[in-house]
Parts: sequence; C-alpha cells; structure tokens
Amino acid sequence: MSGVSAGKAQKGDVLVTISEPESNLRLTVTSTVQGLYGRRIEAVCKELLDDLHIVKGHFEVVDQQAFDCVIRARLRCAIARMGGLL
Amino acid sequence: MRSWLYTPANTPSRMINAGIYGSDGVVFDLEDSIAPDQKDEARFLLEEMLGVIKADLQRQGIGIHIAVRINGLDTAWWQADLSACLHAGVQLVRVPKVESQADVHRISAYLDQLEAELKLPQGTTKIQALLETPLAVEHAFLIAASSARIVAFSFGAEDYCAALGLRRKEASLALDYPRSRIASAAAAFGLEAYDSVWGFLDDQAGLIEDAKRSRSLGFCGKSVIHPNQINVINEVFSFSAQEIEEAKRIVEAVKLTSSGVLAEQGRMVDKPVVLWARRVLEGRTQ
Repeated sequence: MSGVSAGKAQKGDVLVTISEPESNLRLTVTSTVQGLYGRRIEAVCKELLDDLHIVKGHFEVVDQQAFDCVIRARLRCAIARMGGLL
Repeated sequence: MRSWLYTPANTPSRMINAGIYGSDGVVFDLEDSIAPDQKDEARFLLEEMLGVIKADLQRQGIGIHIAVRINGLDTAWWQADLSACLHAGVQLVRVPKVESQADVHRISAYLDQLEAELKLPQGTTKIQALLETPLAVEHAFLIAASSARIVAFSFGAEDYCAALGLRRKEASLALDYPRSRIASAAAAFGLEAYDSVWGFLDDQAGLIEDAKRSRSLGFCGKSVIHPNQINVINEVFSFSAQEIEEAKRIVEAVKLTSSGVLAEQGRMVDKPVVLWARRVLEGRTQ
C-alpha cells in the first residue's frame, strides 16, 4: 500500500506522510528549525501518537516552522486518512 | 459588525494573522476556498487552531468575532463541518445557500444533537444564513422567522447574479431588489444584514460605490476577501462625525422638551428621528 499525507511543505505548515503501515513505529522529523525545535516537534508527535495508541507505521514529518497545533492537526488528518485506507 | 474577512481554513499562516487587519469579524472558510480533497485537512486544522488563534488575539488585545462558513446542505460535508466547529468551540456558523425554513430546521436539528452530545446549552450555536438565490431572497422573511439560532443574513450576489444570467459588475440595478428584501426581512426580526463580497480587488472605487449602495439599502456591513478592503468598508459602514453631532443635538434637544415633536435646526424631530439618533450614538448602522 502506498502512503498517505496531509499538510503542505510551506512556511507555517508541515507535511506529514505515513508509509509502511504494518512496520514498527518509526518517526522521522526534519525541520527548517531543527536545531531549535527538532526535539520539541518530535515530542509533540510522540505525545499524539501515544494518545491515539499508534504503534505501527513510518511517520515522516517535514516541518516549516509550524505551530504545535498545526503539527497535531496534520498528524491527526494523515492518521485518519490512513485509517480510511486500512 | 461592519466587515467580515473571509480566510481559507486550511492555511495556518493566514489563519493566525486573520484577526490583525482591523475587520470586525473573521469568517474561516470551509466552503469555496477549500478543495474537495482538503476538506478533512481544514476541519482538523480548525479544531486544533481555533483555541490558539483566540488566545493569540486576546493576548494582543484584539476583540473580534469569529465565524466559520461550512459547506452547503447539498454536499456530503456539512455535518462533519458542524461537528468540527462545535468541537473547536465555534459559536457562530455561516451557512451557504439557505433557501427555506426546512433548510434551517435541518441544520438546527443537527445542532441540537451535537450540542446535546457535547453537553452545551441548547441554542448556543448561532447561524448567519447566506442567501444566494432568487428562492432564498423570496423566502427571506420566513427564513428569518424559522429559528432563534438565526442572528444575521449575508447576501451572496455572485450566485444570485448567475441565477439571473447577469454579470456581477453590470448588475447594480438588479441587486437593489434582493438587497432591500434581505435587509428589510432582517430588520423585521432584529437581525443584522451583511452584503456580498466585492470580488474585483483592483477596483477600490467600485468597492466604495457598491458598499455605499448596500448601506443605503439597509445593510450594516459587508464581507471582504482581502485585508485591503477592510478600512474602506469600515469607513463606509460607520457614522460620520457630522451624523454623530446631529444625533447628539437631537438627543439633547429631546431631553429639554416634554413635547413628542420638536424642531431642531429646521427639521421636524419626532419619534423615528429620535430612534435614529439613539442608534447613531450606540454605533449601530442597522
């Protein structure tokens, strides 16, 4: 199955792509502010994945200085889209 | 409310800044500006962002009204839109292409259900009905009477013109009738009435003329699609210094007389004039 995505790779936004839905959970974060906020973005993603009991899939997060709320929204949308494909 | 700025609900950078341009209200749009394959993205974004946007505006001391335009009842999206709105804490929704009492009852019944699920007081969510077709215009009075949730009308001139086979810019005369009917029906029920957007961004003179016309027909404000239109609209839909001075003189003169009718600077002042003056001093254009 091919992956699904949500959001955009543009300033103030974040592009979340989920692939390999049956593989072990893996989170890859890249950001234009990686040094300053990379860990925080990762923490926001992990917290949401925990809350939603997500344990599988490769989550690729390409951040362009998005607020935490935007990251959560795009992640939730990608997960919902993936659910629709499962 | 003089100006409502439409902002697509799927662009975070525009959403966070939408309140800073001086409009009285912002309408986050889930309808025309959002592509069909992005409706779900926009709903999630609205749910997550609205609280942050409100907090940011509060921090900056900006008091602004927030509404969300949902998709129409003829789509598969309106119920999910309403659900996202209520989960996000939205209390005002703009509903496009409302044409009848039955439409309002359908939306209202679904809002009743959502409010019960979320343990919100019944009737918390208010509706701005967007009237965009000849049928909607003819039903304006009935729509206004159909639910206590209805707090305002908004006019959609583009669709109205299309239904009549007219081009928007050449239809100023044809728009007098629907505008008058909508404003009158709104006034009959104490609702506000907002005029349609002016979509010609390079034509400020046309915008001013269009706005003045709609104010003269009883509208209190207008929707806008670009921040550059806000100041002009706020000015057109505000009382002039001259009007405020006149209103002050009338109210003062009334205080000094026990008669129901008096003359003020050569003008007969009776009850309707006094009501107008009080309305001016309250800052209400409608």
